[in-house]
Amino acid sequence: MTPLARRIALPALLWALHFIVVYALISAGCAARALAEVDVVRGLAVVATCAAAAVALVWLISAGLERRRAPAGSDAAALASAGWWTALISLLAILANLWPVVLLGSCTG
Amino acid sequence: MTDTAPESPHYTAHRKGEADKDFDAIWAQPSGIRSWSAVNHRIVGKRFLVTGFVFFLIAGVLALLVRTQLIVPENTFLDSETYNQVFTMHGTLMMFLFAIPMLEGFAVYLIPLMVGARDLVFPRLGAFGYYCFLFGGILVLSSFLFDAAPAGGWFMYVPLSTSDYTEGLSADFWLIGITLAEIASVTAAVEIIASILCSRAPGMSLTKMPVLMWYFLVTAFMIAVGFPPLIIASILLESERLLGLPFFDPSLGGDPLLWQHLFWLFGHPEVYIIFLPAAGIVATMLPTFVGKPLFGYGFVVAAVVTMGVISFGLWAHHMFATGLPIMSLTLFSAASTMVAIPTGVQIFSFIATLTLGRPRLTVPMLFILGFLFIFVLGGLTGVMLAAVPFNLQAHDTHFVVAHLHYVLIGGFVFPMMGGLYYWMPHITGRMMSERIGTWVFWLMFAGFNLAFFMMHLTGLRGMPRRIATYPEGIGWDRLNMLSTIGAYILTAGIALFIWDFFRHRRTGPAAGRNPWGAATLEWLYPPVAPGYNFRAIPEIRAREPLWEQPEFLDRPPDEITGALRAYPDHRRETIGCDPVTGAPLQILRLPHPTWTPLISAFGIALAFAATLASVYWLVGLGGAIALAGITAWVWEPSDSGVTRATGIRHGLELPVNIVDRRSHLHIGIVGTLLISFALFGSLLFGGLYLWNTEPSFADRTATPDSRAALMAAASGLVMAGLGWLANRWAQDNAFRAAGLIDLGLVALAPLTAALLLAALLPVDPWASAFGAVGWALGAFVTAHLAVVLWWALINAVRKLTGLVGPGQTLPDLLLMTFCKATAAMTLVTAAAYLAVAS
Repeated sequence: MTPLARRIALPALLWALHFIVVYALISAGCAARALAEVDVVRGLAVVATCAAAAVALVWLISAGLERRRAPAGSDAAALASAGWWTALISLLAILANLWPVVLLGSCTG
Repeated sequence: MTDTAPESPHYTAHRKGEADKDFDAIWAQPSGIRSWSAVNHRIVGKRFLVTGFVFFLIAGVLALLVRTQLIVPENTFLDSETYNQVFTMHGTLMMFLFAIPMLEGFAVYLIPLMVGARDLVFPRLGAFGYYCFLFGGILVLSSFLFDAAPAGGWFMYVPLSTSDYTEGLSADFWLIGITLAEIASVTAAVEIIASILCSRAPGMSLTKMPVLMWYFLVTAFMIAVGFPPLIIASILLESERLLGLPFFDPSLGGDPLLWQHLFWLFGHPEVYIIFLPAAGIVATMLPTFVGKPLFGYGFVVAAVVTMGVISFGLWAHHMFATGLPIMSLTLFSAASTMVAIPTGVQIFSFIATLTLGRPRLTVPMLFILGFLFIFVLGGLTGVMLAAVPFNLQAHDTHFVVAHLHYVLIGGFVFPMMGGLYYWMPHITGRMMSERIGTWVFWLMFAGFNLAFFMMHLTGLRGMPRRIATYPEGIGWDRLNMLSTIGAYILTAGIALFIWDFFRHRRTGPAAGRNPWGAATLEWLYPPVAPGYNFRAIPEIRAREPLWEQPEFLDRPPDEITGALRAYPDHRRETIGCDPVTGAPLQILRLPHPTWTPLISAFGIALAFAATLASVYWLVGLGGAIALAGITAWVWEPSDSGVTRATGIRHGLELPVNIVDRRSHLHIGIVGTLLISFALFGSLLFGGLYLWNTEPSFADRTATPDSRAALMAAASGLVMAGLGWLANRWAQDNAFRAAGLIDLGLVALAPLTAALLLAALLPVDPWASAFGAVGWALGAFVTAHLAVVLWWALINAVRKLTGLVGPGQTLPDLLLMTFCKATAAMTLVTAAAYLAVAS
């Protein structure tokens, strides 16, 4: 049951990690120190998003399989269902994090 | 079953049980003046609820003053300065001294009852937190007596709240008083996490927990991560005001926006911290009145977890007008929009539950419907405000005031009122009036919507927030008049509730057993339940135990079979469980009434108040009192090292206060360290932020001493090793050797602090904000090293004086974990110094 319980928390924490990475990249490109060009920021953000989205997708599929396998009404089914929804919401939110970096041409829009 | 203690070599010298008392007497609460030494969760929870509600009333009166001032244009009812004080204190009291303490009150009161425990796992911590909250609240309110009430808004923006623009003590009252009150919040977080994870009844796995426990659990984690940025911000600002350190001073490389980042890193999750438990209350009451289980338990759990995390990515949507890069704003805008998904999942789950049966329109149910109506409207305006272009238009107008009150009153006050009606019979043993309650609801609902819906319109017509008056004839007059009338009607509803409360205490009909027909365990006993909650702790087989386990209601509750009916050591105790599976893990010993929480909180409050008054010898005295109180608190014989029969599952025996990473104390330490790392992370964020946004100042700051930083890192590593070794040898019963290792830690902790100080010596903290943050990091780690010193000293003395017996090594396990965490902070700090120096 412990891995199933983890499956509820991990996708949301993955979103948090991805959010921090994208925020840090934007800060590196747009703050006064200008650590990176916006194009570099964009490239790194795409890579980070692909990686995070792939992991979230794997968790989504595996939670879905777990949900099918678990006996209906069992503790495991409830946890797997929660894990599947967490993975789905987190996956969408990870993709949303990338949106501004792809959409905007520069730091100022 | 026997009531006598088996012979045990570890307890002969240090027995803490009350052998002359029976079970009821052991759990009896002290009376008279000694009632202030009570630590039981039901008493502490009620104190949180009552005190929080009193602050709600005070803040409500302040709100009425604001609305009275705005009832007509060009009003002179309040002068500008008083108006500023009134709206600042209104927001401060509502956010810090009402909403959070009320949710803590519900959590402290309900968690043991709903998970099948006899008390919270750290009852003294709950009492300590309450007293910190009480003293902090009194400190903040006392500012009125000195005509020094804070007037800079509930978010205390700099530079307005710096000494240059706010002379006197008003901002200090806010910073010091609120920080004191926040101690209650973070202690409650640890208490809630450990209690929910570690004290559930046998068989109550995570998925058999009442859904409210998920809400409380996620909220507690949010408090643990969300409150530290504000605590750090408050300490930095107070340091700037008191010592002149330039954290937020742009002329020395500081940045006023750093305050806003830290404040809203707390401030936005705070909204969800307030909302989530209230939604949990709704999710608990709704099935009762529909007569069916909550629709989509798994969906709701997923939504609560994701909402709890995503809400941390929204802080800068309060800063859309501050000039942040558009790309940053869009990132926060995206997260602000995404959080609507888990919110929507919960709301649809509630609506779906409503469709499962024919709801009974009781007073709590009316408040649930009111919540759905109002909160959904507030959520929709929230989505509007998440769009940057609209936000720039509506920024700082009454539209925002309307939105936040729809979210907070709809999302918290209405569910809270429903919750009070729902659980009042449990607290007082009497039912409140349905007829009067219906009036209360409609007065509040109508008054609220009249008051705040109008503010959307005044906002869209351009009326700014926080203005003391306005000219007539620009389209705001009638709307403001209606808003104020609405506020009076809302107040009439609250007043009627208070009258009904006092009336029902005298003449309300007695509540029978499970008066609402609920499914959850707190209704097992007829109200008022005995102080021990459960005579025997029942085994749980279902998520709705009172609906699905008929043996719970077909006999007197004292006769229900379960664990710990016998009490051989005459101690307060409950069952401790595995955090995930809920399998019984240990017998968890609970403290009896004690003065140590009050003494410790008083010492801290004295130190805080003396800092405010700049009487520094009194600060030292307060610190000494607190240290003495906390030392007396922890200086007690260990309960570990023995096993006892539980009376369930064919003679199951469990260890008392198990020495294990899954023990409640270890989980509590991990929760505490989560808070510590959030505090530490906030400081690191501050340093990185200033380094990135003010590079010219950061690059001109003198660099730390590399060699001393390297030695501090090495010393930190040795500290982690010694912590491990002390635990290892204690487990091998080599107490003398372990005690000597503890003494090594006593010596090493100040040495590590001295090395950090030596590394910082070249850096002038008054010369630049970046340098000041470096010193703040060093001071923070030093505070942890001081804890290591004192803790290791206590452990050493206990071992070297023969107070520790075989198997009583829980303090060593806990100190080892704390040493590792402190070593990690030392290493990161040293690495930061080295990075700056390179």
